[in-house]
Amino acid sequence: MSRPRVVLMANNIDEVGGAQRVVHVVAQHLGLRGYSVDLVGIAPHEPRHEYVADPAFRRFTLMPEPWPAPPSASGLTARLSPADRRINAQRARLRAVAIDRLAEVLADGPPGIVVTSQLWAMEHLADVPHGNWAVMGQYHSSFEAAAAGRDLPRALALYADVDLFTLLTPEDAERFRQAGLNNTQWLPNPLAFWPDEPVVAAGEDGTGVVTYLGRLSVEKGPRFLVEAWGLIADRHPGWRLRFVGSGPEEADLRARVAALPVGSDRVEFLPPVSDAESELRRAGILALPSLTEGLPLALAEAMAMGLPCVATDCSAGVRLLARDGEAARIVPRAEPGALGEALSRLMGSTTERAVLGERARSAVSDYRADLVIDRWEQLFAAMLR
Amino acid sequence: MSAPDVTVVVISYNDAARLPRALASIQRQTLRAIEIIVVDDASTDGTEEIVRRIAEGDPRVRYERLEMNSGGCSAPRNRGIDLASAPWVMFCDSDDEYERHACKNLLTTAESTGADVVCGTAERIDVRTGRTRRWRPEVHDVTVVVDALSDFPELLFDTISVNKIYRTELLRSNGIRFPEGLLFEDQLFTLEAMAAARRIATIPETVYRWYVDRLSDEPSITQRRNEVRNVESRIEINRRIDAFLAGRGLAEVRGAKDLKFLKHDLYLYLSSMLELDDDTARPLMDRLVPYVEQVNLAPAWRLRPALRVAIYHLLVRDLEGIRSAMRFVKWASVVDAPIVERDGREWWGSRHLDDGVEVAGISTRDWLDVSSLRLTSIPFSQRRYLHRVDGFRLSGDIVSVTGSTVDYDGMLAEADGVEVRFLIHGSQTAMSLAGEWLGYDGPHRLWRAEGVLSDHLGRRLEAKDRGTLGVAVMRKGQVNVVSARAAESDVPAASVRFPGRVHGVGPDHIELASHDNGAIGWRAARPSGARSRWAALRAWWYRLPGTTRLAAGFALIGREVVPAIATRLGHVLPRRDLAIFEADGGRSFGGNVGAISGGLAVARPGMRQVWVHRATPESVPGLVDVVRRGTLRHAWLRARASLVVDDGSSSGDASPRAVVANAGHGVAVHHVGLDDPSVLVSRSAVAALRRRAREWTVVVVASMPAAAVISRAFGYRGRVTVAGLPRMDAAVGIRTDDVARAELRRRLDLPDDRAVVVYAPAGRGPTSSGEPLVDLDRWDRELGDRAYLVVRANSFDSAVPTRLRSAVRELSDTDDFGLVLAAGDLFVSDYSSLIGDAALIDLPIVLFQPDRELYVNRTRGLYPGLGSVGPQIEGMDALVAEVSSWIDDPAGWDREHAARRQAWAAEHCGPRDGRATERVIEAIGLPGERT
Repeated sequence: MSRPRVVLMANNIDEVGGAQRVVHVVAQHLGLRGYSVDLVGIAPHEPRHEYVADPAFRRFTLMPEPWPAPPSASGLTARLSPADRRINAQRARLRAVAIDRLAEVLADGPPGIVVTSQLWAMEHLADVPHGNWAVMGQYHSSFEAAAAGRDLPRALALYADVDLFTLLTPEDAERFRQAGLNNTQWLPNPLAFWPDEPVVAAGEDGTGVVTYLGRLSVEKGPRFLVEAWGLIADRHPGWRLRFVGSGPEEADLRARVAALPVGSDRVEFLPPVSDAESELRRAGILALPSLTEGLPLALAEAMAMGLPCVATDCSAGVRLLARDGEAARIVPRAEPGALGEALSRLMGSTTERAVLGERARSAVSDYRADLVIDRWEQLFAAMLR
Repeated sequence: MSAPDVTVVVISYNDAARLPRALASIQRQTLRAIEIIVVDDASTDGTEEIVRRIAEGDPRVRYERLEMNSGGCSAPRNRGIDLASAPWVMFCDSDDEYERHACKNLLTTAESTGADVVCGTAERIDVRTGRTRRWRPEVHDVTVVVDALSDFPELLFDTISVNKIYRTELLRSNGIRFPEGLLFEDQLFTLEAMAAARRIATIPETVYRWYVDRLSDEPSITQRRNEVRNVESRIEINRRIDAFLAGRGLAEVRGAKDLKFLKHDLYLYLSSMLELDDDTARPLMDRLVPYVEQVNLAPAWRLRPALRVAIYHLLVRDLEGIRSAMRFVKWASVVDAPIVERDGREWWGSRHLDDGVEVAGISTRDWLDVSSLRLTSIPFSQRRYLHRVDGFRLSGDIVSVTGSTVDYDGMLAEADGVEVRFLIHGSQTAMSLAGEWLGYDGPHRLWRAEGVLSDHLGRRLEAKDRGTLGVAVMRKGQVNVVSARAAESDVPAASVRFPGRVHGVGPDHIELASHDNGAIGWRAARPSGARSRWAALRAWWYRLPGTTRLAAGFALIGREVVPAIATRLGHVLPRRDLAIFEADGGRSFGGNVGAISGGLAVARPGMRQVWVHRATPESVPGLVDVVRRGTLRHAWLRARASLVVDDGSSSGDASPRAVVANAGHGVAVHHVGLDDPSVLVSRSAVAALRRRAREWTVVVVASMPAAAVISRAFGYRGRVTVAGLPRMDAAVGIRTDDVARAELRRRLDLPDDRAVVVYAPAGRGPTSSGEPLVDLDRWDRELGDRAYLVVRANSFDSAVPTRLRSAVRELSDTDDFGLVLAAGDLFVSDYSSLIGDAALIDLPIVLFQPDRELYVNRTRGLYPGLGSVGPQIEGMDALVAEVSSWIDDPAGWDREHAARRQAWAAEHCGPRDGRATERVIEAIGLPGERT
């Protein structure tokens, strides 16, 4: 079969983030396999991060300027305020430009497959004639997260008719099916790298680092990790806790750390890094205290390196990666006591860390990029039948 | 274009109007590699042209015409099988549609499972109401793959051919074809295909939209149930199926097929006898009996008892007996026969009961035994009486209605009153006519009602108002209301004038019409003839230019501005003796707020109390002064009030000098959701609630732990009064007073022959899927004789089925649920804050938490310590066992649990002295007396 043209759409493709990394990895692999790939971001972001040194795909950003936040007021007040009117007019203009540009991108070659990796991308595609294209819609959070926010009705409306709608786990695909969609499949995100050498279980002498890798925001639950640390720090004097990342909760977290009765001197905050691998090589245990997740890449990558991990039971994705607790420890959400105990056991036993790390690495080998891209190709073929 | 994977055979006969819709749904399938063969059963309406035109634009479409009309579905489908070039074949009817992903889902399942036949789910859509129901959902719950039909004989229940994909080679090599010249051809075809298949799969995905027009002037062929050809075809198909199964030695399948015949096929004919006249029904009966006599009737005891009773009456050819039993089945469990009670058993009254004859080898007594329905022990208010209306007369404005009620066990001899009610929204009363009892005619008690219509709704009837005619029977302070049925199939299409209406605005009369099911519907109607003034006004408005309407729209800004002005004005004109109350966003008049209102009425009789409501006026207690929520008057009164008592849900700006008391909180059982980032609540909702919290001047809580929760959740730093639970004050006294308790149970019409178990599940969040609640059917079967379940529904989708009325009752909208708890003997809940209310009055508690892990971890967290209040159990088996052991020895059971429960209550629920309201009134002070 000749390879169809592929247009991969995302909200933005410039920012540093997990979602952006995934679309770049997919675009690059498909490009290297001989597909003609266009990677399309809707809104620009400065500064622009380069994920791939030598891209095998074309990239476009549809909007000429960043997408402004919506006006704070709504209803009549917003309609009367000049500033708010300006913002709304600007949004309408940018959207119109984006729609036109998208139509041009689609017209610049034969029709093939268009993939919308987020709902907002689909909302743009919906306004562009694309009858000859096969559409793959995607959603990268859990069903629970969609139902708790405003995404569920949007997803149900936007994705009912697309050729294929992919979720990150079988459980999420099933939940969306029960909610009324008949075109769901699961397709995990690929690992950005597959280290040849697993990490060596650190801390023979009772030392090591518990690493948190991600944004410091409420839904990622870093404060529960601080509380957990406070409960166990005195038992493990040789261990440190390291937050790698930034976000709105940082000040609050620093205050919480300072207020800890013990162990506050062994907590450190580092800025976000683009190279997760080298940061993970310095870690002894990865902690993921999140309240909501999809299929968390930080967890998958740490597991790929053979790092023992403790994660919260916050999504089907976590349960899938952790093989229900076999390949990574799973603890209830928002319970610092349970999180602390799980960490403490691992910190206290080199053997347990080694065993868990080994299981972790083999559990996520299915998510190696080449295997996941094989699955993409199978789904493409099924879509085009 | 590559070779097609699937051939879709579309059959059509003189349906040029709908065929294009069916074709379009197939052309836009996400599986593109398909071949579409339209087989035209010799239509005479231009079908050919239409298909040929469509085929020009889509090379996948092909037209095939039968030389002569075949009169059925079989010949055209067989032609399609002959012509199919793809390895897989599917069927579609011209008046239906495929779901967009149908072909792909069926094909990929077939390929991935290796099945020869794959069944998808069909949806039946009522074209008149748009209502959609899944067809045979019981076999389409999840994906199932079996190697033989005998592994999953229930597949036979899904007999239609259009929701399936078949391996073409399977059909051809086994010579499987649709039987020509018969209706219900699908059944034999599907059976033969499934019997030949080496593997069968079912999937839950919807693949087919089956449009059903029940009342069409020309019902589609299979729906003409009353036609003799129909029943003969049905029997012939069943005979062939039986022969086929016997030939293949498929005994397990035969059992499932007999059950299916009784439950679905025979049910249809027995139901239709309710509507058919005797001359049509008798030949039908004569043709059914010889076949039914050959069927294995043992599965009849797995059917609903009344359906079994109807089958019995079919076998003895008693048409009235069939109808009376089918009324129970079809009309929400109304009882249309005397019930004979002897030696602890109950029989459906029938002239055959004592004839000692066996029918189909089974004694009449066994056939008619309906003990499991417990019809004679249903509390009076919950009974399902059959009321027939046989006369409806109008003279001037006076309406008179006559009718009768089947008094199935003599209960109505002591009835006090009777009324004919015009019911609205289920069981509320829009209007009523007072009636009087007349004598008896056999088991039928006769009555007559008469009067002039005037509305009880507290508002004018609106044109959209409609409902049914019901009869209310009063007996010893209890009221029983059930919809009435017309004695003949058609009620006079009467039109009743409404006195006292302004002519031309709104409805001025009601119109009556009988429904298919014998119920009598009414609807408010505008003056006939000329268009009403409103309609004329609306039409005029929409003829105006858009800019004019826009300008007028700006006048609506007043809707925001005027109440704001009223509020500011109200603040400078305070009233010292005005108190305003609101509970549950204006839907309730009870709870803590109600108790405080009652207490204040005594403590401060001169104070004017106004309640905010948005409930239907009927539920407004008589003496309460109310204001509708969100009106200008509401803003005005609230701004002037010196005391506001609510449960945190009210809206509007109180005067800065007013006392604003938030008294809505119960005992902290599950997380409030605001104090805990692990509960997913939108940030704007949290912010709005916290803003509102700034208005409170005092918060009433049950206990110290609850106080901590409230201040954390709402960020509230103001005055807190630890008072207990005002809403339970009355219940505390009653709980320990046997006389008062017996009186309360009589008032609530709870049975005194069994234990009363109160069940109140907590509401689940929007993320829950399939709520694991008490299995009511199982409760009825296994506990119903010994325990009566009162359900408070939070998020129950449907009411308790009427057939379970003898064991389960819903009591949800009462404002004083505390009294229900006081009347109960045992409380079952999962995470509801009512656990605190029950613990306060020392009611034994069972925690039934089948989804505990999910609830705690993903929906809402629980505060620790809850496990002390009673045994925590997870499954229905455990619940039955736990409740049984409690029934066997309540005192012994409670010795095990009382101490821990009481300790928990002492910490969390506040003092059990019935004086919580007094403490609250003391704490908020008497406004006006403050210095």
